[in-house]
Amino acid sequence: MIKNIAFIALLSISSFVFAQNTAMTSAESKAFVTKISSETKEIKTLQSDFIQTKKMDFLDKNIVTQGKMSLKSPNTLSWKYTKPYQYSIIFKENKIFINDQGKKSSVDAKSKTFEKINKLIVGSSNGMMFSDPEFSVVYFKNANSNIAKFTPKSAQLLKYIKQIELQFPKNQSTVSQVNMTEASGDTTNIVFKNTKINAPIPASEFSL
Amino acid sequence: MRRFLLLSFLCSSVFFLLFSCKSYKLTDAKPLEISKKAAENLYFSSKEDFVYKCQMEVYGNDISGILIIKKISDSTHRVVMTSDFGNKMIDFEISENDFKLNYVLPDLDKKMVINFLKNDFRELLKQKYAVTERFENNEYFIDVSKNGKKTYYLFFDKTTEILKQIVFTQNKREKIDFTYEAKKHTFAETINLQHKDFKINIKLFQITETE
Repeated sequence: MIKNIAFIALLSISSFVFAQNTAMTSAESKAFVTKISSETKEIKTLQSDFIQTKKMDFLDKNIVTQGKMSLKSPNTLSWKYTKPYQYSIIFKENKIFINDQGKKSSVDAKSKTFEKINKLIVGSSNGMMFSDPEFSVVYFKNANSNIAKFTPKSAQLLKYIKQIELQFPKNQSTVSQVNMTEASGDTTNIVFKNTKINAPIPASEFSL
Repeated sequence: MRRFLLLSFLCSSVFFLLFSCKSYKLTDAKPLEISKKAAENLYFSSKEDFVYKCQMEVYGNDISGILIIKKISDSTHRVVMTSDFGNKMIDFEISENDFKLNYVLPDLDKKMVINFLKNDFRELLKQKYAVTERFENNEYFIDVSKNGKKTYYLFFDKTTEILKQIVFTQNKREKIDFTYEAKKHTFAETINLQHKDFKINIKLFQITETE
């Protein structure tokens, strides 16, 4: 009997912990999207530090990389890893510039995969993804955040990615966390910190 | 015109033959008695996570990412390469005789790419070599392992006995050069895999900061 009570107690605690996310009503999700979209329009620049954590089931430890991102509306993005290695990628004027530990190169952004990566990163960091026709979106909320879960519509894109989850803290119009689940079930988590909106960004940030 | 084409084809074939017939030879090395029957490459022999930043150069195209290698059984390694953003590009399990592909990015799903990775990683992860000859020069003890058409030259630092280089030859021609920078026998900080037959080069740098 005591065992059963303990079990039920444990179950309810765990469901309390895990079942925090509830689905938004359609009115709530509409209001949320309208709010984020209009606030996003006011964002001219965005800067943030990020910590990226890659989890794979067969590894003992997670792989953690860190860096800094800078975004200038509408389409210039710098994504720089600074730890544990130096790697920068800049999306600018339909070109991609890369500095891989001192080795510089550039590519035209015509490649489909690159375009998708570009779109995913830019979209995920400022909420532009809501209007992306390639994804269907469902909305959730909990005590602290609003959550949007994106699922690719096409079988083609599903081969790359199963789901992208964006977390928006309730008092914030930018993303604080991105969780990507791959087709294989592996996950990549990106946490944004020290986010600055509309602070000037020196031009050097967007060149290598 | 046809004659010209034929001629240039012949010329280039001859040139190719001459060039590719140059067989690999040790220089300034003198033979030694074989002191042990087996030599080992221990760099991927423990069951830890090996995580490397990876720079690949394939015919002028640069591919960057993170390479993860883990020994999952006595004979098998799991190899995963992801982009810098974390998304998986390829995932396979490999042993001396088996190969199991768990995932490949649709863009990379080409027989040639997979075969090349399979062959290269099988050589990279080969642990045991039967020694058939032994040499020395000023810097290294060189264990030679002949197995059919394949010959491996393993260069061990004379003072530390750390493995610094493996030259892999097939039909006496140099195919792949592996060079290692390491402080201990079981872990290499950097690995450079240089193809001598194709314009392919892979550089690996260890990433220690894992959670």
